[in-house]
Amino acid sequence: MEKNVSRATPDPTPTWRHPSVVANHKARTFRSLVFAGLCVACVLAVMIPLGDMLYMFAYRGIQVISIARLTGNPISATPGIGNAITGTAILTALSGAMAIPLGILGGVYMAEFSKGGRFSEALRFCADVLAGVPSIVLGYVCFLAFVVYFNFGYSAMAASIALAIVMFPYVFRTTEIAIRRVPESIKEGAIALGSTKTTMINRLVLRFAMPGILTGVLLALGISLSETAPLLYTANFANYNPTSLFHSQLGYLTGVIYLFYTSNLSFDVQLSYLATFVLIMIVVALNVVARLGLKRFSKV
Amino acid sequence: MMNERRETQGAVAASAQGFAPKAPGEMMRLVDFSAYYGSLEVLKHINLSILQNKVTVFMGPSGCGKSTLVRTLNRMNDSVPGFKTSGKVLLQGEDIYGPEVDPVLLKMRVGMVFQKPNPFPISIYDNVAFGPKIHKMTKSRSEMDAIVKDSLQKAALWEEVKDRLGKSAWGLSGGQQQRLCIARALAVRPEVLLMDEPASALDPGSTAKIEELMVELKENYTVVLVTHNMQQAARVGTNVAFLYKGDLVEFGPAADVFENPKSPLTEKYIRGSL
Amino acid sequence: MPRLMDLGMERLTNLLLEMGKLSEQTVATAMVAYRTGKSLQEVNKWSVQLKQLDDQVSDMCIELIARFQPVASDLRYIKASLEISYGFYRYGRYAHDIMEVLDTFGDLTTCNPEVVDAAAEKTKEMIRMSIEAFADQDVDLAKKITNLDDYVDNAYRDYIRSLMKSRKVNLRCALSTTLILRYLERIADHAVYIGRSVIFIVKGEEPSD
Repeated sequence: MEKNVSRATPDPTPTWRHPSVVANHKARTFRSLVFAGLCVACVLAVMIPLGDMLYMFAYRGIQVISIARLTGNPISATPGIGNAITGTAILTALSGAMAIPLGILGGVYMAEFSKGGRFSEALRFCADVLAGVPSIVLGYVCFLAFVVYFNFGYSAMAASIALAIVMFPYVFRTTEIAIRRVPESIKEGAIALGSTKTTMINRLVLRFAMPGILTGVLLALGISLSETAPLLYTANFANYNPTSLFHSQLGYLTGVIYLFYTSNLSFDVQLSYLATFVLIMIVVALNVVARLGLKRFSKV
Repeated sequence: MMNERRETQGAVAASAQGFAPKAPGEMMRLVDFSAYYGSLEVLKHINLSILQNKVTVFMGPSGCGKSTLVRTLNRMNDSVPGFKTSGKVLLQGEDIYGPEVDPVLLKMRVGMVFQKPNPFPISIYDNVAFGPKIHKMTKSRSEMDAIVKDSLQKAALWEEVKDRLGKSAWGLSGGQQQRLCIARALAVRPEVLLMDEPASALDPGSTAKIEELMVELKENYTVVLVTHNMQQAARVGTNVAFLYKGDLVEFGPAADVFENPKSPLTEKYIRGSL
Repeated sequence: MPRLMDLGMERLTNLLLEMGKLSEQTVATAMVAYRTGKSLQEVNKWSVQLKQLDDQVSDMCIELIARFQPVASDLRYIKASLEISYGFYRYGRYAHDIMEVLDTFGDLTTCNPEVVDAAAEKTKEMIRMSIEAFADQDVDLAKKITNLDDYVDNAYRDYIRSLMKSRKVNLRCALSTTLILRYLERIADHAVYIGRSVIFIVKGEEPSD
């Protein structure tokens, strides 16, 4: 018996009412909700411990905070982290002064002046590798080079150089990327008005790329604030302010956190918490300042 | 109109001779000019005369070389790797590819407006003042104010922006941005204004304004227009050049080219059957 | 692949060819009426039809211009179409006028048909040539039309001169023949104009006289 296949019987229900389609839709909606829920859960899994941690540091930090604590040093009558704050400030300023201009100029060179040849490729590769080298290794190298060989001794200078090396690749790379994102049409417009390349860069390109560059600078500063190991190798740690940039040790906040946490003296531990709190506040302040600065640039 | 026809025909004849002396009323001339990207010849032995205070239009299908041609007039192609030229491009009798001509100063004499409006992300005032500032054309703020106002008036934009010169240029509409770019180019007081498809990214109303502007501008400047819109070439052009695959196929007064073209290739192109 | 405008252009051409055939027919029929003395009302009907076709051509040309912004040979063709359409309409109109002469003057078979017949033959030849020159876009044929025009012009003028010289004149025949010759002469002129329009389409310039 032949199978009688009937064709062309018109289907009365529209496609969006077919039971299989409806069931599929229900399943897809459910899966979407599950996925969204998982994302939210992951975020909470990170944010809650983080919040808890911040709260703890704030709580313990505020317990001991006072002007005396912030200006004195660990060996004064009221133990404080004044020298650590000063030390961190010196290191950040010095390393920033070295790394930021070099990084920006390097990024400008890579984006505007290099011809894309093997030299530029090699340069970029080196910078990327440098970013990945553990900072402790860099610290040790700087120890051998500057503390010993060039005979700076344990010093702010040696430590700043180490920090600068850590910071440089970040500023370098983000500057190049930020400048590359400036639309070609803007640069063409400037050239067509008779601008030389340098004028165009100074007046227009940097202005346009400033948000990106600033992000890189912030990133670098944040990294330099958080380094401990290379500083220990190059500047050791002192409880007083340095007397010179060479052959004079200094204190720094991360050092306080590391060294004092395991101390037997109770107020040393408290200083450790205070240093943590202060460091977090500095990083927060840095970000706030950066956001305000970015807003000002975007408004123009 | 008839005088313009005769002028053009005289200039066309003169340029065909190649090395004839500067014809009267002539602003720029291409003499046996060819251009290459590496080994690819993109412009082939062009002989062409651009008359002063007229609108000269380059038209042709995509890839015919019209954009390349207009960018050689102010040496914008210099930065393209592998770009070579042969022949001469004369501006008021002087070869702009000659050794004595500074490409940067050339751009003050031959300005350019691009297809997509490209105002800088700074204020309207600063945009227009950019050129005069970098060339140190003014000594005082009031001189600069005068230049900015004059340029914006010439670009038919002054009335619309005079109360918000300090606001960002990126807040303007597309048509306004393009007129701002025109004002910016005019601020350095060029002799020639090159316009590379200036209205192709704009809506019809803004396009019409730009076209009116072009016809007005020719009173004080020499305008060279590149367009792929034939009707625009017909409306705006005094003289029209038709380019095809790097060759200059036909060049003459607009009325002649659009009513009775000499070359069958031109005829095919403008009737839309190319 | 044909352009959007080509459909309209083809329709325009067909309209004109239709007008050509119809106007040729109208003139020929009018001359038959003259010879046989019978008034043929078709002539009037066709003359009205030709006017309508002329209006259609005019509308089509305006539409093509408004919609397609034609240039070069397309633009010249449209300009020439307006002129040629008018010419064909005039053929019909003058044929209608000849019929009116017959209606006014009655049976003209008693008059000497020699002059009219000769002029009519040449005129009909010129009409045929004008239609063919347009259909084939034939410049040489178009130029030849002018050569025949002199004959018809002279036929008209010579007849009037002979009338003025003769003593005895049959007023009825004289007037009607004069009028008909006049109309034939005008038809011949329009044939020349049509030839000129054809040359304009192909060459792009008016032929210098």
